[in-house]
Amino acid sequence: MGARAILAVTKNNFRQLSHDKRTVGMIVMMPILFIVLFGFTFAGEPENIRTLLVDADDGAEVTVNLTGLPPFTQTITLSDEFIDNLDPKTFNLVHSDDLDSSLNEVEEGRAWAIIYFPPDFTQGLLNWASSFGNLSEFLGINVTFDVVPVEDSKITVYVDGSNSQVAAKVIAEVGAAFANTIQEQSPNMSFTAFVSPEFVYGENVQFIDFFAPGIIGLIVTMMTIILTIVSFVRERTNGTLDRLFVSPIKPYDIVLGYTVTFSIIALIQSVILLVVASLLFGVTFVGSILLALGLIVLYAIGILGLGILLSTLAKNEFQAVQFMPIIIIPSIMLAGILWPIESMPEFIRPISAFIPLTYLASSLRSVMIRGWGPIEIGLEVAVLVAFAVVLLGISILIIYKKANRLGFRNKKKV
Amino acid sequence: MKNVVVTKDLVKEFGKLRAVNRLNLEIQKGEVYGFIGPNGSGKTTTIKILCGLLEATYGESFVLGRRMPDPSVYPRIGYMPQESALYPDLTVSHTIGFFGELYGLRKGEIEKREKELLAFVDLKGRRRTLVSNLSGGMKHRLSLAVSLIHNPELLFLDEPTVGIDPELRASFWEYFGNLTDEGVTVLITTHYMDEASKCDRVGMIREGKLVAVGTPEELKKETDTVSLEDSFLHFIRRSD
Ligand SMILES: Nc1ncnc2c1ncn2[C@@H]1O[C@H](COP(=O)(O)OP(=O)(O)OP(=O)(O)O)[C@@H](O)[C@H]1O
Ligand SMILES: [Mg+2]
Repeated sequence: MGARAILAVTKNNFRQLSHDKRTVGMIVMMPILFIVLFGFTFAGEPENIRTLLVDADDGAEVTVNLTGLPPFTQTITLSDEFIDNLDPKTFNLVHSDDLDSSLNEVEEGRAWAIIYFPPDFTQGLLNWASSFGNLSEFLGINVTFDVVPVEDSKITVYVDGSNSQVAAKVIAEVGAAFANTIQEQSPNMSFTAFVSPEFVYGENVQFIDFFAPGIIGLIVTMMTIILTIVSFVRERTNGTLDRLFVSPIKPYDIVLGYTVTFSIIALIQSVILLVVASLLFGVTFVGSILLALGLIVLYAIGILGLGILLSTLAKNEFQAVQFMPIIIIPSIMLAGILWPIESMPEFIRPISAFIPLTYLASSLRSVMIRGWGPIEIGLEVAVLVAFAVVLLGISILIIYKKANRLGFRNKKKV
Repeated sequence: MKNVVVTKDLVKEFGKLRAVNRLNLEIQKGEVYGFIGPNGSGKTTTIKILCGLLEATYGESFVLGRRMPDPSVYPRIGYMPQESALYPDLTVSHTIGFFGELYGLRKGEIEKREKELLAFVDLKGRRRTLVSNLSGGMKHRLSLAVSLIHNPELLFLDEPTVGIDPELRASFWEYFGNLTDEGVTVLITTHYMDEASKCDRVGMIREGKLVAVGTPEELKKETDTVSLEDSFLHFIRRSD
């Protein structure tokens, strides 16, 4: 038997599926629906943030020395340069004259942020630049300049922090505009004071790239667990499982037949998910597709074991479906698929270590974004293998127990 | 004669309920043994123990010389559960095919058996019908065919004729007769007394206990009744 029996079970499963159009539809459409939903709702970075500009910058006076002309005094205002460098996609900029009324607007929720340039902004900036050395080089013309001490020249960003994503974006973009302004002014000057990010991996990675691997894992979790629980509960309530038990097929061949079936289904779903994610949302994928698919199938096998286990605890399909949230919700919350595990409170992090999706999401992410190979994700693979072996092993044992094939003998006396 | 099924003081308890109570059965090779008794008397439970699906609480049972549960007898026995246990999303032909494969039959053998069995249960014209679209009686007929697929030498049939029309029932009994001629043993449960009287021997069970065993003639004689039905009622009442 062995391979033939496994094949018989697999073939039987697919034949039944071929007559169950609704389930086939669910297998194909659920992944598409989910990835599209997640993609559109989560993919975007905050955009078009209504932001008030209060530009009180008085500028600073410099003396320009041009050859052949007498030196003359000119006022320069660097806040304009800075404003030009603000990302037009992120900001919906509205000029305002008055800081107090602007603050009112933010307090009343009509704007997310205020970018305030103090009167001494340019003066302070030039003071600072000249402290590095040659101001002429900074401004690109030959100037002489008097350092006039100023009190406060910092740009102030007043921001409504009630939406942390919006607030973080505003602050990050203001910082970026500032860096760009300085950089443009002085391409030759090296300002060691700035942080210049060099991406080791994933230069153009967006939020969707971060969560797509996790979402793929989540969808495979849901589908595999539903299909397994329902199939096994149905085998039992139909009485067909009893029939299998009274036939020569070995219980592990039954489980392996199902394993092959649901691995193939998980494979099909992963392909759909990866195709939709990359075609529709341009999700980064630099690693090996085969490795990614292998990871998903390995993970699905463990989940299948879990499903069989749970199916034995349920009397009927209705009860079986009640197990779903117990598996799905911790996976969504704690597996690091939507927010990094590093952002969770320390006492919760150990729980993540017991959720298999954690390992799938992180290894899949490494393959897709970093292009890592099997060696680099070895630890995660080992955990996933252990998880699959243990759960499948337990579920095979349970099936053996149900089939009374564990060899325990009953008591003899009456 | 050789006993192919033996139980010794078999007891099965579900919590406090004793479904089978010190049952001692002896079924001989080549006979049709009718297992009759009121609803809930423990017939199905006994069959499930004999098939290794349930473990006895106390006592022992032997099937084809093996102490149950023992999977090594499975290739040689056929089991038809009381509820027709089939896959609703499979066609009639694929159902036969799947169970044939489980018993390791080759493709050619499966095709041959499918022809024979579907002719026997009168489902020839239904090969491509989905099980879920069969009538209740047809499902039952297919379920019987499935339990016969591998030519077992011992058959456990739990109410195989429920919901089957009279003409087919007659042909079923003829078929069982032919099987025993070839040395096959059949353990059959039924609530129809006309069927019970066609058995070689009948065992009457009540509250998990065997209250009478014998050929239909012996049983009628013992209770001095003309019909097996009266004899059955007599034994059941006497055991109160
Ligand atoms: N899994 C179970 N758990 C608890 N009690 C059970 C279980 N299976 C059967 N019983 C009880 O055991 C007793 C015998 O049931 P069984 O099914 O063997 O009767 P039966 O003789 O086959 O009846 P019928 O003619 O109605 O088919 C009944 O009282 C039944 O309620
Ligand atoms: Mg019964």
